[in-house]
Amino acid sequence: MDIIGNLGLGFSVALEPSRLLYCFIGTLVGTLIGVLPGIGPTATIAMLLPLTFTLDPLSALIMMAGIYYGAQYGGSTTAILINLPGESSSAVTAIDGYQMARQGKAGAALATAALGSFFAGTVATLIVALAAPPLSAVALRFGPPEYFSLMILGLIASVILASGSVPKALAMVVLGILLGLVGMDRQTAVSRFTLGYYELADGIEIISIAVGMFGMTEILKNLENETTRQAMAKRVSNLMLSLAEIKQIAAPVLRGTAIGSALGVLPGGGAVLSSFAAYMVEKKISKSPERFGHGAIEGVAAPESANNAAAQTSFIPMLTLGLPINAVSALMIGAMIMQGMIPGPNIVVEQAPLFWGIIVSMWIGNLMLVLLNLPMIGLWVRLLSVPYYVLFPAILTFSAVGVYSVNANPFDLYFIAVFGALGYALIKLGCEPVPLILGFVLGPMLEDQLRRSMILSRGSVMIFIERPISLGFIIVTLAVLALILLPSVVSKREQVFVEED
Amino acid sequence: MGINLKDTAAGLIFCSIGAWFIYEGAALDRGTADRMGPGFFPPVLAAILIVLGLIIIILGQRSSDRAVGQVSWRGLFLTLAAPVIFGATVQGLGLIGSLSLTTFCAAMASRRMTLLNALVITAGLVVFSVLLFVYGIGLPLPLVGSWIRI
Repeated sequence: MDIIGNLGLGFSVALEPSRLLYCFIGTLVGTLIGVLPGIGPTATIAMLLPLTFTLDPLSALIMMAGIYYGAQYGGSTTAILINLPGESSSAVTAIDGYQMARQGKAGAALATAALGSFFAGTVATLIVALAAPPLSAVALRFGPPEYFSLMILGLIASVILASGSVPKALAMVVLGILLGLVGMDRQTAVSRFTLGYYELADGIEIISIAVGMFGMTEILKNLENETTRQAMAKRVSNLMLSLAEIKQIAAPVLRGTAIGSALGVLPGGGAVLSSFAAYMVEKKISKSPERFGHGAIEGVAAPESANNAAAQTSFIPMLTLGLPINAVSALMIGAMIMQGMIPGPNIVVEQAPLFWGIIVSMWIGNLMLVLLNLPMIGLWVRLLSVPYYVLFPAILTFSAVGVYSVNANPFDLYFIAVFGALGYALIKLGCEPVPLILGFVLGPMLEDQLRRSMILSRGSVMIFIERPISLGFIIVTLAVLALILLPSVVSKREQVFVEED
Repeated sequence: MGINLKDTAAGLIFCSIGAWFIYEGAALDRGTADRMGPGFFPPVLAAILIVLGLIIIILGQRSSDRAVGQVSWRGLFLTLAAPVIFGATVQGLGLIGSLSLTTFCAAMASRRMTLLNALVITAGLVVFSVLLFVYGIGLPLPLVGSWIRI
């Protein structure tokens, strides 16, 4: 096994001082926005995306990943201390975490969340390191038909595992693909759907869509109903766990890590689904399920481990296949493309320092998070009193400068307003923007692989079911589609997402 | 129950965008199945989008989820205006002037904002941004723009 050599390579690039700095900035920003309710990791990464182009690719990706898993950490602090999930993935933690805090065990709850997350992050990072190279080796043998079918599977699955109406989510995927096709056709150099604007010849900038659809809409949602947050600056002491408590959380942390690592790779599933699933499992197998909801420490340990493990393993499809499964990985793939890289299975081999650097930095970032979160908890609590109306002009200003700095093209800024308005209208009508960004990123690849497949097969669509691997993907896709049309699944699905809200 | 305006509106948005892509794509070369032209894939997708739009409208009439919730029109207008203002004035006014307008506009989007607070936040953010972007990161942005220079 050359895994040790590879990890050594990762450490050598990730430990460079500037990389450590960006890892630190990423986890710090992630914790910050995780703690603050009202702004999530997707919106933050969208807003900061343009600024990452001033960095080298590895630093940019390290920072973006740090924001994502940092937010999972930070979200639990808010959930435990003020019963308000800073992040949707921490919603379950609030149930028992807040009860623990009321019983004066806030310190134990926070320590459980932090240590459980760190353990889960370490294991999941190792899983990424072990699973990614063989997976990408398999993926390297995929031809165009396999890729096309796999992308269809990924898109359909992400739609179904995400919340909201299925037809609306499908429509958002298709709309995203169409928007991704705007601009010059890659094979024939013909201009498509540009309305005659030469600015659109290279396609719609992902930064305009990202900032508009995720950043702007999140701000607009928060402006709808401005309420004061109760900033109850509690004193948190006794951040240590007793030996009995450690014994109590050991098994839940392990189970949470396993559930999170497995569910994390699912398209669209990710952190929210896994924390919910881990909580349900703990409640089901517990000898005293009646304690859940009244401050059971397992109810904090399992979901917090699960969401952090899922945050790490959700990078596997992106790193090995170049396929985004959630909005954050879609934005990271967008960043890779803008940096001139071609995301896909080649990354592992051709960009080995980058690949292993990201993996190692995830572990370093997790370590930084424990150090950031436990001793500095008082600072984060005080941050909760920063009013939202101070926060969002700052975010808007930074992203405006950032977007302009990429191309020095005012057009990109006008498009932010266009997509902000469209995105907000669609959200108000019950259409979530995540499927759209997945479609947008995959659109050009999808068309490309379809065309190549059709050239291979001389125009016969049978190629997708004649090749065994491709057939497998198609069967799974159809099975998933059939599954959601079952009435019992429809009602279950609604239940799950209602409880999540 | 009358027409479900929420889902009907959503469906109509998808249908009209689909129709526009079909209209615009009609002039493109379709090619053949084994040599797809630039006009092959988009119209297929656009047709699927229209079908999905119709499904959303039809299914929506049976749904009771019709609430759209409140909208802060002041917030909507000012927040969307901020990047447009920046794009339109950054070369002309330069970073300091343009950013002042942008930040002030964004700050006033909140109903809870007072004029004094907005001015303080604007001043603070402009100074911070100039230090960060021009002197820190070194972005080549003019501090004072072409409209002001003599």
